[in-house]
Amino acid sequence: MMNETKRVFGYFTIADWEREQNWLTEMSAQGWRFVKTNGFFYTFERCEPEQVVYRLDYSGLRKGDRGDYYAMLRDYGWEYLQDINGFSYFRKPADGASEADLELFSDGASRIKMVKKFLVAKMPLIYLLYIAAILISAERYCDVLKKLLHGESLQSGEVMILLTLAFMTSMLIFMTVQSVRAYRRIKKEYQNRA
Amino acid sequence: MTEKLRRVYVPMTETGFYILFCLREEMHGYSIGQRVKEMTDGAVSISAGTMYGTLSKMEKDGLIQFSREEEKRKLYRITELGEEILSLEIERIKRLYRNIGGV
Repeated sequence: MMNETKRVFGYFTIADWEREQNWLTEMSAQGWRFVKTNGFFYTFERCEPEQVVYRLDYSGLRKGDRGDYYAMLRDYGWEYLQDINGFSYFRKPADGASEADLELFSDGASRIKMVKKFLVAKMPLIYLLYIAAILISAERYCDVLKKLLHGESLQSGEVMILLTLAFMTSMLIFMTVQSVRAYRRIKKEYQNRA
Repeated sequence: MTEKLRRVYVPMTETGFYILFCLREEMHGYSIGQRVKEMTDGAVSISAGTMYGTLSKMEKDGLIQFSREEEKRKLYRITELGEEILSLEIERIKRLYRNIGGV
């Protein structure tokens, strides 16, 4: 018999990694076991409701250098599921395990470090790409913005340029806000615990 | 030993202390975790990600060194620098203990 599966849309930023973990955990409790994700869509298969936890880690390690990392997590009872965008997904049965055994990080400092590693690895690249994209057609952007300021009507091509610029800028702002949110949340939590 | 390392590692977190203390013997991450649980009757529990991160950092800072690999598990051992830092920390803890009325 074919296993019943379903695909669900889910989008989580770096600020939401705990929410993502909880969602996957909740799905398993409802009888939908997580199979894989491409970052936007999550595939689940029907299962008996199970008490498991899911945890995400951004190791910052190169693909070829992860052998001993996976080996250690396996020793600790974590089943490795997949990698996406540098994040590794792990699962562990929850029954009988202590709270500390169900976490990947036992102190706030290492949790903060994980988020920092992600931000340091990704954000500079995003800013560079943005600046590069602006510089490549800086002249055209300037022309269109000048026209707009002078109240001249825009041709459809120019509207497209403007929309592209607006889209890129809002993406950049969105990513920045998410990063700050993530960092603040983690830091607050750490200070409360320490 | 550099002043910077001394500032980073003394005083040390409980996690850091136990890891360094255990590595006076050659061990790998999971076995350190088990040993620490035994030593503390389960009171100190070091999660996998924290263990991995601490070992990587200590190796980078030269407190411990990679000694060999066993079925993909990395085994580590304390270095001379690590011993120095560990004894500074032990002195600090002994002083603390004396000052609160311990023997």
